[in-house]
Amino acid sequence: MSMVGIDAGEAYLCLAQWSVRGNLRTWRAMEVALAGGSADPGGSARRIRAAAKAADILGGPAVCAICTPKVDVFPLTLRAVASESLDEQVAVQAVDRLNCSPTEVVLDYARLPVEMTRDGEHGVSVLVFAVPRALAEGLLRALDRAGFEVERLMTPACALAAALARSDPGERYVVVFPAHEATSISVVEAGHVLLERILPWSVRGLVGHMHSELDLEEEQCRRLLFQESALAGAAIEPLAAEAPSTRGSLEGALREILGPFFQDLSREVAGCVGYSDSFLRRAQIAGIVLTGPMAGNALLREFVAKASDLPLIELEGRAGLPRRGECGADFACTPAASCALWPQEGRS
Amino acid sequence: MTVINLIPGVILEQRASRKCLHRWAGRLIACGVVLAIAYIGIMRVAAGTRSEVQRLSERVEQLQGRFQGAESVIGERDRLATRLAAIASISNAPRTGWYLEQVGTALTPQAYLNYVGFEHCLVAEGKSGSGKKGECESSLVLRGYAPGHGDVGEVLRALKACGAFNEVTLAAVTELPGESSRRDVRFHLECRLAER
Repeated sequence: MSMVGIDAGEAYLCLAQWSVRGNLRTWRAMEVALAGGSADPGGSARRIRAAAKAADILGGPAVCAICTPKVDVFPLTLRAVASESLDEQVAVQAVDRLNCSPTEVVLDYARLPVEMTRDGEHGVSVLVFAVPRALAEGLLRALDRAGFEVERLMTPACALAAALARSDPGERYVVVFPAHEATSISVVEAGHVLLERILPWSVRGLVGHMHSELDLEEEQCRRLLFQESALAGAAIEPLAAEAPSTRGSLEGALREILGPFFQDLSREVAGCVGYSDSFLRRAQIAGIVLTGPMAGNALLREFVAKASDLPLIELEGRAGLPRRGECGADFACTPAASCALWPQEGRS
Repeated sequence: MTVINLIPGVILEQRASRKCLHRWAGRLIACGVVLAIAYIGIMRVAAGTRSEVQRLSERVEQLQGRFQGAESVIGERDRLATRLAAIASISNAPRTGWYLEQVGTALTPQAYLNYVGFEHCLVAEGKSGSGKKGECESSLVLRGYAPGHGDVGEVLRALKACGAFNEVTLAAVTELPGESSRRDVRFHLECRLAER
């Protein structure tokens, strides 16, 4: 049994674990909604334990990627001053960028593999990650009680960058991960996260919006969002069976409802591509990796491809990750699986 | 690879203290198990020792009972020995009279006795024929007065001649103060009784 990979939000959790039989890697995954969120670690722990037991996922060490709009990621350029350590410089400069007291967040940073020179002074670039302390503590307490001891808490881009580095080392990618509570857009290269933006566009928000605009159940909206074609599958059978004019009107409605969101998301992707070209060390972007539950959504793919003019790359099924649908029919576990594959010393 | 960790320090501290607690709890449980095993072992040994002590004390009681029985037997033996001595002295009583008759016959008409002591040796009589006869022999001590040395000599000869005594010894003769030529003497004889 591998360690457990966790993709977490405030009120959502996806767990993934793999085992090897012969030469075949088998994945087990489950998702669970946490009604109380971080405010009720006991209740959340019970739900997680029950769901993990149902999915035959064993407790133990875990790696968790947290994706909520409350997670803040920003770059800092520091002067290379010998008298002051990098930790001290980050602690001082990050205060200006935070929207709250430094005591209310947990900070960590990673040094970027880029050379910076401004006004003749050599600088060091770091990417600072900040998560609200209460959110992290509530989530980790719930997971601890459920029997999952998280050894590393990071953002989805860190886990996905490591997974991409295993399949295509040295290539630069823009990774788009529309998650349940936020969307992570990042630029990654050789396992390093060069940039990450966590934006408040979420699957949950889109489902809610579709539910309010269309006369469909939330579950049907979810399936519409997760399927490759808007009219494929059993989610909308009653509608699909109707006249072509109705199907055409549904496609139009979806484009009208989701289009603005996807348009904004595509602009952000294009912005990240532009940042990569201008600010970072110049390198060709190999493609855009679209992952998560909406990775197959044709409309989203269309918008993203049009905005960046880069090839869309599928991460599922590469570098030991599960293929689409392998975790479950109606959810994607790629970020959680990337965490489960996080390299650990002394572990396979 | 971008390696960050956003786990709050307080969570790590809690885990460390929990692990420490678990470690100590494990040690305590291990100690408890060892103590329980030791306690069970000690109790089993103690139970064996207790039963052994019980068995030995019962044996001691039995032996004490036997000693008491033996003591009562010894007391009975002593009581019987006393009774035997009494019976022996009673059985010797006629002989004493016979010895006194022989002494009376041996005395001259003017001689008289003021003390007759009979030292009776029961052992000698009880162990008659065992070869230790000489160690303790019954004797008769006679003290008296006679009108002169000649009477004392006659008494001595008569006693030796009567056959009642093995040995007759004149232990002392003392002349009493006076003015006449025939002066009284005080004599002391010891006579060893002859066997019958």
